[in-house]
Amino acid sequence: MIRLALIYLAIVVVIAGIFTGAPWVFLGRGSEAVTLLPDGPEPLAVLRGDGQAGSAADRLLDSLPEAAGAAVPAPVLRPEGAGLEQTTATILRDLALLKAGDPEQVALQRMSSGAIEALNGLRGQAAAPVTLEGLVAQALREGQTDAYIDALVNEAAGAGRISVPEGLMTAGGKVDTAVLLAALLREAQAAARNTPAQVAPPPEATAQGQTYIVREGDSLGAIALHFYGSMALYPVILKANADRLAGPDRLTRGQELRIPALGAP
Amino acid sequence: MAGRTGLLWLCAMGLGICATAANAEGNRLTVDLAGVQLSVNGQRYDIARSADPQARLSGDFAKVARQCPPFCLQPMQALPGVQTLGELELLAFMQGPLTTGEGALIDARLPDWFDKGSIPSAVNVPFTTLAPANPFRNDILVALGARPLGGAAFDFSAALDLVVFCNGAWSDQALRALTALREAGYPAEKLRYYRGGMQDWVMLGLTQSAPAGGSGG
Repeated sequence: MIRLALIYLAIVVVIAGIFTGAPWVFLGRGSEAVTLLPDGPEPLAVLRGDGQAGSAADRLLDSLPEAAGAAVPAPVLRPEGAGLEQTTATILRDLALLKAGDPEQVALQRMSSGAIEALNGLRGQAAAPVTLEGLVAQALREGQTDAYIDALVNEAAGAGRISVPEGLMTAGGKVDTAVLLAALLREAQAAARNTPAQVAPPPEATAQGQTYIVREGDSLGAIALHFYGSMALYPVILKANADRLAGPDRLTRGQELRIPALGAP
Repeated sequence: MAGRTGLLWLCAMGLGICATAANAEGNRLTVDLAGVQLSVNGQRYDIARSADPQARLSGDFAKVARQCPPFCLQPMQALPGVQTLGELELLAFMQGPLTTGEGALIDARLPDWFDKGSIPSAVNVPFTTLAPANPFRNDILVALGARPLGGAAFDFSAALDLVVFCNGAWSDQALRALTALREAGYPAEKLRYYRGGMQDWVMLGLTQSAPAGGSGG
């Protein structure tokens, strides 16, 4: 399962890497460098309606020359504790790939959308509210590419139009859409098999572990997905590195992180 | 306004026909104020008092013995620096900052209550959506006019002036919304508390927004 997820992550990351011109290399267990697979099929094709991106995607990319590499100015972060698993569950529900959902989360999302829409209406802004979840779900429905989604999300986040979970912020100050898409795929498959993808929340970190050097495109979510098979477990890494990380969005390139081994849940 | 005052004056002189006319025109809020009209972003709202002398409280707002907890009495002063309003101050706010696009009237109750009727022009921002547990809390702050500075930092200097209410003095929902807003950094001087809430609004016979569908946006 974990291996499967890693392969998907690898493919997504490489595809994103091709567009951004930044070939990323993860250090595997035992600190040997593992180069990610160079190519592979479009991993999120199963989620997508019509396959490839249309001309709208190209127009957007053309209009965003800086989106492919530059750091976003300052995205709005979500309140601490807003879980990444809520983000993926919301997108999958939106795409009808996940039927059940935490009713409380569903209600919060509906009430928030209603509130934002009504508040925007006060100022004559009729546009429906945009969220990270809504943008990604819509783009997937349209069959857009990973690069399009990355540009779309980072443009909106950079302009302060959407808030993003802190675990998705990379060392380069961008929103890590690659890990989000990888997690989506993993959870969509788990939902299709009717087995919950969520890892049980209380795995105890043990003293043993390894270290990892942060690279430019890394987010805590991506590192957690890489080592633990779930980006939702990023708080374990955050906790183990509390002395050197001010927050999940405070990764810097070259920084050394402790990656605790997970004990039995 | 002058014409209406003149009409009342005639009524006071004992012309019976005028009593009917005044009644048809509606009750008054105060001697000087027959009603309030306001326009928010092109949408017009009329607020008046019920002219039906037989009107009584019924349904939800006729209850007098709600159990505490959770239905506990609320203080007059919600939070330090947060002004408490009565109906006339609320109406002045509605004709002032709300009309000029610098304010919002926030119904902090849950949607099932809001849909049954609210104060005209109110926006439903349920108190639960303002708690940090809501992933979209910061998106709501932006919709309230907070300028994002990156991360969880906001500049509230251009944020809307808010009046927050709930079902009234027996409900803590407005207080919880105000507390959550303060904890998110919303300045106290931009917050106001209409403590009477729907209970007092209904009891005074003031115009409500139409139930569900015509939700006041």
